[in-house]
Amino acid sequence: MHNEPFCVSICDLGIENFYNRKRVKPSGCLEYCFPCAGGWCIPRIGSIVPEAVMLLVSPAGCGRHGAITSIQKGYKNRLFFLHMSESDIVNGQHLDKIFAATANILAEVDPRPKAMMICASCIDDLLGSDYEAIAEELERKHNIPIKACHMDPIAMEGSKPPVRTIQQAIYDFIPRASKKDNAINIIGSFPPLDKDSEFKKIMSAAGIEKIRHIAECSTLEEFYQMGCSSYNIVIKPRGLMAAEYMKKRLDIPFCYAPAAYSIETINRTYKKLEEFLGMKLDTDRYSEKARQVIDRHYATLGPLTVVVGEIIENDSTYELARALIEYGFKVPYIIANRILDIDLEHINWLKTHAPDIVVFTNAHPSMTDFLQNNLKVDIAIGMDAAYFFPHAKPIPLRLDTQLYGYKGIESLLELICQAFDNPQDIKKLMYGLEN
Amino acid sequence: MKGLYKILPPFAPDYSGVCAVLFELGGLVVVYDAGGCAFNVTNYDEPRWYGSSVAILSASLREIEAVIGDDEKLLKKIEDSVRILRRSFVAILGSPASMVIGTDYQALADIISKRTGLPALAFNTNGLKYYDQGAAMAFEALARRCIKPVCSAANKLVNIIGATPLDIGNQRNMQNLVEKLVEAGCKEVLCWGMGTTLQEIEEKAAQAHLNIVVSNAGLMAARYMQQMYKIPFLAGIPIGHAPSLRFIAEVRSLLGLMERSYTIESLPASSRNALVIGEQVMGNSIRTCLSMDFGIDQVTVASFFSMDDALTEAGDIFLEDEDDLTALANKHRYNYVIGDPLYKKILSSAGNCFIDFPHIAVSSHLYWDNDIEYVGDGGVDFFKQIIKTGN
Repeated sequence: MHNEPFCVSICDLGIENFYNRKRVKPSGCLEYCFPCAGGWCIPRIGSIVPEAVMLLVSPAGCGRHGAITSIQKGYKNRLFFLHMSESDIVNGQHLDKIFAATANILAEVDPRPKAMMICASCIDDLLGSDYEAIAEELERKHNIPIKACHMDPIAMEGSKPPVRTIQQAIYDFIPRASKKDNAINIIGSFPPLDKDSEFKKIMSAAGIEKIRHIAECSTLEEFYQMGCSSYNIVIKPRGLMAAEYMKKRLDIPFCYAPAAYSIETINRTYKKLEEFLGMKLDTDRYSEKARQVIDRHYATLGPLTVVVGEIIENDSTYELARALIEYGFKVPYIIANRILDIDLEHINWLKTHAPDIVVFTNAHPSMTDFLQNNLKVDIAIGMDAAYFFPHAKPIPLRLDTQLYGYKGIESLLELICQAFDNPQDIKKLMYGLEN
Repeated sequence: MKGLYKILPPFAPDYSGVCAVLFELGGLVVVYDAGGCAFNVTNYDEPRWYGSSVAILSASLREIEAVIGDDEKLLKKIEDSVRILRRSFVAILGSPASMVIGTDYQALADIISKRTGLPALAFNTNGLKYYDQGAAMAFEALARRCIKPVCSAANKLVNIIGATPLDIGNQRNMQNLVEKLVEAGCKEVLCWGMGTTLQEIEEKAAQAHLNIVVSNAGLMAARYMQQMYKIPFLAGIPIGHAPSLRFIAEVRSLLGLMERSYTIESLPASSRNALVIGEQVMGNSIRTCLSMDFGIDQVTVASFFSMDDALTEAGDIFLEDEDDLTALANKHRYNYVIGDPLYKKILSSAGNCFIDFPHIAVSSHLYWDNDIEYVGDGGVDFFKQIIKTGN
């Protein structure tokens, strides 16, 4: 006999007296860790900084997932670990050892790193260690930019969660530019925008000369050029703190234009960008084409049932659920725990248009036995949804590609078609064993 | 530099070792952490996790609870989960964060036990130590806290202690070991942690005639049972042909099924040497195979994990950290080096013939699908692919 999984109706989400407006799971619960290896952990996000290395200072256990992922993804040669002992913690010696470890890495790694991140863990948050001061001292000593960052899940629900502070630390490398150019930075996503997105064409037609993204910079110098851009466009919520910081420090204004799948949402996003940039953006033909693509695919696929998870590339489960319902599909279930501010608008829309949606969290203890419920849908989007609905055709929609704009709709629908033609093994994909 | 790891990943931590032992026993296992530690266990150190219904949960500790020492919140969370999940016991494990705020895990376990009526175990893990120490704690806790004393031994019952996927790899190797024990005359075999229920351990383990220790992590429990229940133990895994014959003979002798005197033919010694890097009991067992089946007598065992004096031979090396392995690679030349593939980067430059022998506690899921069947003749077949017999 198994337990009933915790769930809530979409109609109960996001209201003021709900357990916790930012989480579906009640706050006084233990947390289930669903299988989701191989994602974008803090060291992997830090590895985007070109020609830089990271030293993670922590108990041995904390670095394990980051190290294994780095071996799989090919950046282990830029990630180093300084393990602390109990006596280190008691007398604070691990902080002194950072200096020797940094000197060792900079002396022995070939080619010599041009920048470095020193990463602290939960334990140093609680000890009140000042990594920013250590980084400043190291920077002076070694004459390369060195920044502090934090891999501290203990701060996950505070005002400075690690998924946001790491992005601030990354963009903190960029020096203030004396002269701006007519370029845009894309902030918040780890990969650059999908090359097929209409975004670049629309911006180019409107007069934007260059679109910059950190993952497209192969050198630190090239990365620094992001400081010359006149605008930041934040396409994912986790980039907001970095954009605020860049506005203050580098004088680059930003517009929050999150990736979306609903035509209406995308239309509004482009309108918002028009206002922000002060230029007309010619989007009509792309919008019209997207409508045709939806109709064409719907005619082939029919009224599929879909479960939408949280581990997806646009970070907004509810927006994607809304989009799928607008396309004509059915969404009986959502698997999510996080509720972001941007979700509220879409949750409200879903309350009106799909009030029967049942929301399971991916983190409630009752999810331990969830598989025994054997719930069935046609398609599962997101790694977590695909795990909990193993009979559905999985669409990982991982953070390794960044769909954006109207073209993102077409790409998503193509992925759904491919899922029927050539379904992926989600377990192998998760553990990185697909090859 | 001591403590600096430039090539190797951090190894599986102590809380992963505890979880690996308790995984199949039907408890509610709570890691008192912020989420990252339990995530390490489930996603990186436990091949049985995917698709399972095993309750390894994070306490989801947050800064404010840690700062004000709000243990009551954790207790409430555990009570609620006990009600929801209906497991047979509770285990609470420490993490770096809960260690640094000075948590008294035993006190928490005592309160949980009183409030829920379930047995509760406490493990003073902290993520600074490696999995072997956590697994040893858990096996010892099973021996001390769970098994029920009995007056007489059951008919040729044997416990296997020390088996977790972190050291042993896939379950098939333990099944093969069970077959060897049955071949030796055992009537019943309990493999703690891999294939035996908690109830079986509680009710039958103390009736055993013999304990087989398959990793260093099983030693403390075996020694406790030797002292408490007069159960002898044998530390080793029968890897290879001749070692398996010897193992069966030793087991038969210890079960009183044959005289102690037996002779197993080994190959004559050759001038070749080898280095085995890994868990000590596994390393020793590979050494025996190399010696008896391949005639390689000069075999050094090196380990980053606990090494027991009684199982250590002259020349064996405890590796404190990555620098020690680099120094070893620079100082000695070996015909063969056997170890996890991640060691290769440090050792291959020395011109050794490296034989991949994945160790999940080192390389996590990177190679856990590369099954090696090493028990019995499977061990000879595996090494024969690279090592020639004789000179």
